[in-house]
Amino acid sequence: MRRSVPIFKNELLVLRRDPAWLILILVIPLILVGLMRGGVHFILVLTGHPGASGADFSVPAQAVTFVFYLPALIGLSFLREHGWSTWVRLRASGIARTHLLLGKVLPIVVLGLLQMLVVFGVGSAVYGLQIRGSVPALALVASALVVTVVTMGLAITAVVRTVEQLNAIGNIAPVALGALGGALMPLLTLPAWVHRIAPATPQYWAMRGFSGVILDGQGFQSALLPTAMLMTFAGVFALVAAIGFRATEARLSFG
Amino acid sequence: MQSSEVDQDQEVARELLAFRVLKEAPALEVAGVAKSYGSKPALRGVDLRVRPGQVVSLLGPNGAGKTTLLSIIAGVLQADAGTVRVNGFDVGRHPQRAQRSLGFAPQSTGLYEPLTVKENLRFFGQLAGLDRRCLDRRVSELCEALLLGGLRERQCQHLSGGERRRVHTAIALIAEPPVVMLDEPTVGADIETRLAMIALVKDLANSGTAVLYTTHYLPEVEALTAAVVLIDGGRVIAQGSVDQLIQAHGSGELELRFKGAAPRVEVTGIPIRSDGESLWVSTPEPAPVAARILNRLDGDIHRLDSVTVSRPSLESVFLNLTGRRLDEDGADAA
Repeated sequence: MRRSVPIFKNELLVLRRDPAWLILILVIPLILVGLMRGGVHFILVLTGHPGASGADFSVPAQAVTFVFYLPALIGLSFLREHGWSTWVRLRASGIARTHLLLGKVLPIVVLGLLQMLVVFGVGSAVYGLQIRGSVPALALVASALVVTVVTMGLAITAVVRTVEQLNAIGNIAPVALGALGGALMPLLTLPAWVHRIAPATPQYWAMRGFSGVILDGQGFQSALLPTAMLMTFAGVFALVAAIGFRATEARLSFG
Repeated sequence: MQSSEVDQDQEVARELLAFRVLKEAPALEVAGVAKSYGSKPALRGVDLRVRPGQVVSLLGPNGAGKTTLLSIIAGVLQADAGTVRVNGFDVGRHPQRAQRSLGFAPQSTGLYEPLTVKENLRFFGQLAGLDRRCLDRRVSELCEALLLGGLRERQCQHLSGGERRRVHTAIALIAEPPVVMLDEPTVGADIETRLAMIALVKDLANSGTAVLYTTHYLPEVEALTAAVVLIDGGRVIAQGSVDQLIQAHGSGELELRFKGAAPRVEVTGIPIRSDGESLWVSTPEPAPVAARILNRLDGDIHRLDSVTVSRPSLESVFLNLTGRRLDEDGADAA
């Protein structure tokens, strides 16, 4: 763990030099909450939540949608090592593979949790988000979601070979899976066929966990099934990453 | 510490002690290393030793297997056969201990582009486990030795090729490893960088560091007074000091150029080739041979236009051993 610390700090330093990602995952969702909450309020009223504000859906929805941009950041953090020719140096530095992976992944865990904290925090303070149920349940779902996002990032990293492939997957996944999982619009407004395939997306289970606590005022128990499902997704992604990840494999960082 | 870790450490300590006592321990030892990419052999049983304080220059054309060998020594590529020991640690059995004894500067400069020179050096120093005081000292020493003093706070993406090469090399040396491998450290470098690099490698050797150095620039090998290992087609084809290799395998070249057709000259024991207006002789001692031929020219000496004598060199050693020049691509190895 101690040997992962320099890599962890280095990743944060590199990230600080180009804060575009911080803006993408922290600022953009909050802007979109402000734009969408009015329209969403009417949908919530029509779908059986007369007392809910638009923020009660928009805040978790935007948090879920935008946290799924982090897998692309994980992929980028590995591909740029190849582009900068630092990957060989890291591998020859005498650091264990697990410590190397941990050092590169932990900053994304921190970013994911920070994103949840900021979007939900500002959502409450500025947009009037009301958490009617258990806050620990909310934290449990948020944590499971971040674990899912990180393992998804590792799985994508194991599969892609170029930055172009990473960009394609990393940009399509948040929007496509977010739409199918009910994180862009409430699921009740979507066609019936979407309802059938929505549970195949992690976004669906994250939204189900958050909505149960925020809109329906449910307790800790309600978060257990969504959390278990998210962790199942995480397990599958971790398996893909473990099978597909080859440290010796050359990657084309650009081209 | 858990008991399994203690056992492992004790085993490593015993192995290291036995290694040092029973052998005249080289800092780097490569024995019978072989590697193939599919059906294509890249290394075919390479043996190599570098003692503490010794500079060994690995020479070979592109594709000879140099980079493959260095990658195996660095523990980033696995050999199909053979063993590599770095500072006594078997790279296959204790890769992390071996790697922590090795400073490796691969051929491509590996730097974190948005970070400054100092941040790059500090990161790799921290990765090697240096404490803050030691890190500050090493950053200062290396910046001075490699002329990076004024560039400490500059982001690497704004450095010139030579400056990047110097930072890249400094990173390999940050933890003062007992073994250093520099793969073509002066490629694309300016004269200032080249001189600084040679001075640095000499200092390293004087302080007891074992240095394995690959280059295409033969004058550097001579400047470093390095032992030479010639590699071609994945095999070591010759090794020794520059003088030993030249004496054993080198030849000089003598050209006598005439106005008009070259005369027919015969000197006992000296094979002379005629090529239009020139006579050619390949010999380890071109100067005395030139004198003997000039004595036999008689009246043709008035038509002699020029005499060119090339001293025996490493280039000629390689040419004699392989029939190819060092700057040609290798035939069948990666």
